[in-house]
Amino acid sequence: MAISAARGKLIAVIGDEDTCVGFVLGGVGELNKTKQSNYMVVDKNSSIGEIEETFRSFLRREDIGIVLINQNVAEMIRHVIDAHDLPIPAVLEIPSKDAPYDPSKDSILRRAKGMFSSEDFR
Amino acid sequence: MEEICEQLDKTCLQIFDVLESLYEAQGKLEQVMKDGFLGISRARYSLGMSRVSSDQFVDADLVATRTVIVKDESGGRATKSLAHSDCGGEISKPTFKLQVNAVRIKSKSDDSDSEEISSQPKEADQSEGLLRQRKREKSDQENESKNDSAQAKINPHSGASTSIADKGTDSKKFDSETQDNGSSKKNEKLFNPVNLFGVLVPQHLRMSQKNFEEAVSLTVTIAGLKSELECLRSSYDSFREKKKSMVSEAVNPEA
Repeated sequence: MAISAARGKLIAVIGDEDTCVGFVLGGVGELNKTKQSNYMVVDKNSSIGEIEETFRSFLRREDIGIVLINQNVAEMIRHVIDAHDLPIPAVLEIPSKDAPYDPSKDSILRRAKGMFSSEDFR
Repeated sequence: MEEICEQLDKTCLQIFDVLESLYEAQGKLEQVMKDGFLGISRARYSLGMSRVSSDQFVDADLVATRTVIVKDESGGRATKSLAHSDCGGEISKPTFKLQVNAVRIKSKSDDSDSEEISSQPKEADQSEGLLRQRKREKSDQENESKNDSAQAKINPHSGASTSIADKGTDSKKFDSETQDNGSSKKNEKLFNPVNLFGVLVPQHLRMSQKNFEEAVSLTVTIAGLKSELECLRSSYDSFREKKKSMVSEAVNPEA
């Protein structure tokens, strides 16, 4: 396959089957030379350790700029997501087919919410 | 002191602006993804469960047609401790920009292109070339007919023969052009991820593809907004610390 000029970073996806199918349809899917994909389909057989390992491997990869993760999957590995505070790759929580997006669970929005304490306004 | 208080207020307002646009983008993303999921379900209903699943692209040679350009002035991953001029905080603010790549793949039918191919595929190739240039041919014909009519008005007797001769030379030229184009481009075609699920896919799947393409661009926007929010948050924290230290100095000047 021929790829034009300089390319940007990839968008990785961790989520249920429909989310992965959708984003691959959207054109983000890639299988690199070492046969590593940039998506992970989470089903009922996927263990938390497996998800955590894949998420960490996406964070380690230099060619990934954004990691998209279903919010219900993110809940399973919340401690790992909270520990990630680097701006690149950016971790975004997205809704899944079964569960809508809840801003109160989002790591970044929770951090922003915690900025304003009652002491500041005294 | 007043300056810092003003800066704090300004940053606070900026945070609210960013939050507002973030919530708006999240709402749009949710709606677009919902439509996309519905399209996938409809396509699955008409094609079958197994035809629209991740099994279709597990072994496929996938190439990302949508990537993201990350511009980080501090130039890398260890950016947490570096000061940034944009927001004055301790966290850098990378910018994200969507990049759409035109990925060309070699078509399988042309891999075995040799002299042994019968005349039928060649004709098919030529007809494909002609079809590719269909619009141009039509416009050429229109131009020619205009010229014809113009010439007929000037010289009604000699106009017909010249136009036919011109047409003949033009068609020869056209044939050679299409053959040139064919030889350079017939081996390649644009990669479209929807073709992973078959050649004739339902309209719902194409609609779903459009929805998810929009979702990808929205996620890039959201990533930018979140990085801006983090940057503003860090600058707000630093201003607040400054204010606290100034207040404590004012209360206890000896300390």
